[in-house]
Amino acid sequence: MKRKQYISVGMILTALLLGVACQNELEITPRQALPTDDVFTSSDNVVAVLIGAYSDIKGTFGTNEGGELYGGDFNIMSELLGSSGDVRWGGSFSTYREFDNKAITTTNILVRDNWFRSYEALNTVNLILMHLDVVDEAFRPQVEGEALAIRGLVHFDLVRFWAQPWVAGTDNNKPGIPLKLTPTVTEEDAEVIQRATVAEVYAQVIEDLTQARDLLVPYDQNGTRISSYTVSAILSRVYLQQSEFAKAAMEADRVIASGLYSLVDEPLKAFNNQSNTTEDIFALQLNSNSNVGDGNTGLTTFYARLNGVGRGDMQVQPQHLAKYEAGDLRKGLDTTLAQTATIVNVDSMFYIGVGGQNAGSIQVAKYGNVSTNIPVVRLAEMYLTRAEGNFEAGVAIGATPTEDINVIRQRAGLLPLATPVTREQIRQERSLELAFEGFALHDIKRWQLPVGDLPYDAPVLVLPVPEAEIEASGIEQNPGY
Amino acid sequence: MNFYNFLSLILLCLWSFMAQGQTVSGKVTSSEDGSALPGVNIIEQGTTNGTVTNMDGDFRLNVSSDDAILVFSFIGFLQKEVPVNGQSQINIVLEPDTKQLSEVIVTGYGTQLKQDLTGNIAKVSGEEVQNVPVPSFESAIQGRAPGVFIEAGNGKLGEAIKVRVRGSSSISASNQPLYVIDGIPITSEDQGTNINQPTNPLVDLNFNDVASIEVLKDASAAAIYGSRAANGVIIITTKRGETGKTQINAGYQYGFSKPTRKIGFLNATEYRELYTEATLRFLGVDPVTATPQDRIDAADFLENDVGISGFLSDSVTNTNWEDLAFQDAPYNQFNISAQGGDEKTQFYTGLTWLDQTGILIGNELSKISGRINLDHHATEKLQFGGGLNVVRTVNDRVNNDNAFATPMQLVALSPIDPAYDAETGEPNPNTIYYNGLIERKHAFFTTTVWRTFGNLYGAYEVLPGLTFRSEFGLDVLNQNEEQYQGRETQDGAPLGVGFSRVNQVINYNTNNYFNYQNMNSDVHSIGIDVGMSFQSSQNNITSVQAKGFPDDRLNTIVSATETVAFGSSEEAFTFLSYFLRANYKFQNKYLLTLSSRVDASSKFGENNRYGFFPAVSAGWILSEESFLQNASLLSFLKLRASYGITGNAPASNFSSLGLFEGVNYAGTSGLGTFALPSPDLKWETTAQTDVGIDFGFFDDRLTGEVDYYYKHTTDLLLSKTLPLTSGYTSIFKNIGSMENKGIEVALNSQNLVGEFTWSSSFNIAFNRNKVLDIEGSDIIAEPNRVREGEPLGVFVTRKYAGVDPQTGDALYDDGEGGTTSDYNAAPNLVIGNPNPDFVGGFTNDFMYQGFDLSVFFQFVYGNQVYNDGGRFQSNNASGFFDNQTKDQMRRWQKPGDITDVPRADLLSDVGTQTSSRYMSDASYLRLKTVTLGYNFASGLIENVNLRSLRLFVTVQNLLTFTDYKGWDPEVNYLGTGRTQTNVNLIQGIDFYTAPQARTFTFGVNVGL
Repeated sequence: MKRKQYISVGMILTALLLGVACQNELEITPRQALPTDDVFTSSDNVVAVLIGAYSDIKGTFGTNEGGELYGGDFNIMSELLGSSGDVRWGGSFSTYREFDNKAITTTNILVRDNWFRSYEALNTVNLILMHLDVVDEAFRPQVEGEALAIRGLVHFDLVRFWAQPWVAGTDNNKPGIPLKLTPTVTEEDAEVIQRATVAEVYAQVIEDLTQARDLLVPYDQNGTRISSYTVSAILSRVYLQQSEFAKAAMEADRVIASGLYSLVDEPLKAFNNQSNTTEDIFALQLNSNSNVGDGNTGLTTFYARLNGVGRGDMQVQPQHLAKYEAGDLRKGLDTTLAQTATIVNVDSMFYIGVGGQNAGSIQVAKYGNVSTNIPVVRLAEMYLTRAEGNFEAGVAIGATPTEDINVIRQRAGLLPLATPVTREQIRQERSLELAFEGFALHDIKRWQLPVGDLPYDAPVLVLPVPEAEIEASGIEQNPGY
Repeated sequence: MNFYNFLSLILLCLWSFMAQGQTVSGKVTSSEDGSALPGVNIIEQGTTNGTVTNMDGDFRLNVSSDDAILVFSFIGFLQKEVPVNGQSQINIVLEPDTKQLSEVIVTGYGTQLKQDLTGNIAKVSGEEVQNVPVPSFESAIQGRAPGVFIEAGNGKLGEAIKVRVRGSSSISASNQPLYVIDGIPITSEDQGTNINQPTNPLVDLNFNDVASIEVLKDASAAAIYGSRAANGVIIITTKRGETGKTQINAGYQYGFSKPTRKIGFLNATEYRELYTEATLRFLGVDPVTATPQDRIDAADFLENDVGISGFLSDSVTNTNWEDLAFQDAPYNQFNISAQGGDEKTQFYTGLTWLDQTGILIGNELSKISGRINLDHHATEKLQFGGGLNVVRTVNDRVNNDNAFATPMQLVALSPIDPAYDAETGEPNPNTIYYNGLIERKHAFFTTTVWRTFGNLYGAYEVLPGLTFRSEFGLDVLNQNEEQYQGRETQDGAPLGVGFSRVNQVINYNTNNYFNYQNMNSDVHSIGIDVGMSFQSSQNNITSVQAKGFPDDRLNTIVSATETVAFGSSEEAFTFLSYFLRANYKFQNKYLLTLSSRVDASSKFGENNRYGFFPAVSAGWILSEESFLQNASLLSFLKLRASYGITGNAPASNFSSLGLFEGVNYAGTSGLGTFALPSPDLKWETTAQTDVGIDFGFFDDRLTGEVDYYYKHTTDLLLSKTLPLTSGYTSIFKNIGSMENKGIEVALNSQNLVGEFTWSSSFNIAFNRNKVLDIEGSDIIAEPNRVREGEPLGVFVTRKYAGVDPQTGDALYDDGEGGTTSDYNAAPNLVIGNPNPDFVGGFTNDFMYQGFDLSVFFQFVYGNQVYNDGGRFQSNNASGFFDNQTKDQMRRWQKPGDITDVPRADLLSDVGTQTSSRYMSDASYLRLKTVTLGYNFASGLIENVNLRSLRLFVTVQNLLTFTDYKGWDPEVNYLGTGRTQTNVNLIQGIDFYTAPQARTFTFGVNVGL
């Protein structure tokens, strides 16, 4: 009897001890993710979150949520929606074809994903701005400046895509976009934000960018991140969009006059580079392990049609090539690529695609390798912006419009203009030099020119607020949807 | 925890039952094979005096007098009463009870007699599923267990299968049941990457080794598994040896598979006609008035501008791409097993080799599995043993359904494109989309899994009736994925891309518990199980993708020049649990079960680490009452009811934490936002009520059970939708509620007995799922949604309303009784439901002399499937250049045409947006399994020293009756964008999804 008691007590104890021993096993900490409480504890971590913000605006690679922003869709959405036939969507994705057809559905997943990714980036920079006190004083202005710059840039592109265009001389009180100025830390912060007016959004964008530009003055070098001159370049874009020509010219001039940048010697050399060129004011830094994808995402996927690279869906039409003068280095069309060609074999701006389905169409060579940088702002734009700003404002900050246009022409292998430049020539030069870099829709709206038969302010040229957002927060939809 | 006190109390009570007196001894054996029966209850009638037989079937009992009557009872056997009559040695042979209600049911940490059950447990015996030619055991039990809805995602081999026990109880946690093999919870979730369909770790199970499969469905049965049990528990028990002559069984099965259906696409002539018409509109020419020259111009445009080579010039080629996607697929299976043992040691050992080729080109699964189970009785009181199963599964997989390279997407190619280049014999690289035949030839994707299931147990009889059992189990899953796409392939060009991923899941578990059965009374019967359990699972993954190979034959990563992606990761979770169950039976007619479990898990938030899951159930065997004793038709009648609480843990291990994940930019590592914190996160809670009736008529020749249940899940683990402007799409919380209610009916009847026997088994289950509350807006995975008041995954989108007879435009319901051609203006409406109204199965077994015939139908009724591929396959040639289904030829052509297919209008997307146009009814009735066998009479085969010889033919999925328009109604494509947030609501989606296989096999089984 006694023995039995011992045995059973022993067994019970064993069971209990196992239970107690296993208690400790209930504490498991994640090894692939950092709890939020541990993030904003060091200066290095806040800087790491800033890198996270760059990753957001770069676009995605290998994740579920799409939305490529500057790594893809912000370019393609503008080029297709602003296309009067210079480029056609030749791919099977109807999500992009809806942009080409100017018939976007409110459920279009690109609309939703890019809207979401933009706000994710905005939330990230707002988190940084909230925790600046943790950042070492030595580079606190830099972190703050870059965060504000990203906030300004993303709000600016949101308002350009998702709201009625800025019309100079009006009060611009049409609905803009929700301004995201505070971070979401807990669920309570995730409240509905109503749409600010277009004017309010621009005012906020300029405030953020101006502050960023000034904060970043000591950080002016052409690196892999946003510098003070990057911010000036973006500001010049904003002012140009508002037809604030003199201000646009001044900001562009600040970049050019810095002397930090110079044009590369041939137009195509500004693209497909593994590191910044002298012309890059800000380029998304991509490499084989950090890029926007090569399967169904990213600029290269849609613009390129080379052996094993791209799908050739963004098909340039002959009418576009007809716009260049004879002898323009930006006009070249390589029709003799081998089926095995990759971008290193391409030495003209355009080529006939090779290597599988969709081969045979005209492709632009600006994006031919998923692992190379994507320029976001390059010096050529600054010359063109300064030229247009000076011309429209009737001033000559830094240089005359003709001088600036000739800089671009000469780099393209053309003779300088003999006579003073006209408005049409400035616009034409801009369209050709910056072709397929995401300017099409926004420039057309500025110039108030039609897209095909559609007037510049046609509701279908504005993206719908994604249906998912309307359902989740009930904010106002755009007209026409 | 007053666990210790409680146990001590029980033990004290037990000792008080001990009794003394004069002695009778003997041995109890089975009439079936003469083997000793351990654990037989022996009671001196009219007293509380009793004992149980030991491991050798021996017993010794002090009785009060020479006239005592001993009552021998043992589950599965007929009770026997024997007068002592002064004998001191009594040997007893018990007859097995062949009535269905005396089946032994595995309940989790114990067993029970079916007639004593107060909970609801469905059982499928191993014999029922043996030799069913499918790779995974869930497919084999599909339609056989009432209330268990099983749906294969597609016809590719070895991929995940959806199992729902009494509906879906969760929105953002798993809805799959817990799988337990021989007491050990095993790894059952997807181990692949989301760039392909989910994998199915259960395919590693060899169901030739399975003795029985029990599905714990109601709260009373399942609550013993606490926070893991809300989706039901599937308990798999493997075969064990029996004392006696060693028996060897060997079998071989050979067959071949074909798709259940092909749907048919346009031939070259039809393709030309449709696309010429579409192109005329694209070019601004009205096809009605177009001249022959206009048509030639349009064809020329397609050939020379678009690049569909041969559109104008090649009138010969007419490729049937659909045929090229499929292959005749051989099936080979060989198995051999042996079992036997002496009175101290018993063994079972089995070896199975399976090689099944898929119906899709390039798809093949082979499996080799060896198992040994041992049981040893060291002393009268001490028993130990274990099992070891080592499996290797090799799966040659094909690409995700959403990849151009997948065989099924060959159907998109133009019939004008030749499949192969006439000169080189290579697959034609100049098709309008990528030619998947290139992938077939120049790429491979092999997943190899080494799986080890091992368990050890020891059981010690502390006191008569009180046993302590300790179990330790291990499930090691080692998976190696190797993919290589050669330089000829779309993704592999220019120099090849390789991918290697190693995934190791180590899952161990220990159970330590006491089991008490009283045997001293035939009035009060008490059974108690109490103990603890601990489970730990850790998953480590290492993967690398690289490109640039010198030669396609050097295709391991070491030969690559540049990495594309790389990573390693670790995930882990633990569960610590205490459980208690008490069964009480009074006078063999009143039954009561109490069970409960306390669970703690690393998955729960800091603020809610421990959960308590109790259940109570009661049964009343009316047929034992005197007023029904004389009912001549009614042989058994039991009423039962249960209520209890079960839980469901989050699928993700760290859902309660706000998290940042590692990202990088410009060669610098950074932190990216990932999830908002949810510190109060806990299990979701399902309260389930079940009332049921079990009955037997005509001496149990007709038996059945009917159950009604109501499952109410609260504190749903839910990804609550947030405004996107927050920077997060959702937050993971315990909010909202959902219900499932339903009725299950199971009937078994022996229609004819005697020389010609005919028995039938029928089951049907109705389940109604309804989302009651999600505290916010719909959760969307278009076209599926979670919407309050609707079933999970309801289809909500525009409602297609046909074609405008004047313009050929697609029309949509405008929600106000009219129609509109403006898609954006049309409202989203509830258009369908992917959840079936009812599911079930119907089996008829016939036997005559040596012949047996089994005919098994399975059915699903009332659900819809949305064909997401419809926008490409059936877009009236107004999308890209995909070949079209035949029905698109009835497109609108001219004003006045009445049809449901809009005008052909190239690249203009007329009617191709998500709408009810692409949804169709997916009810089906399937002749799932037909087996005809012949067993040679023993007289014939004894001469050649065989114990048994059987020849058989089995056909799987012979006939399918359905109105579904696609290949097969049993589909679900989860997509590469699946996350835990949306994976449960994505239901009933078809996207170039492979149909099920129709498999014919011939087999032979030999017994030695």
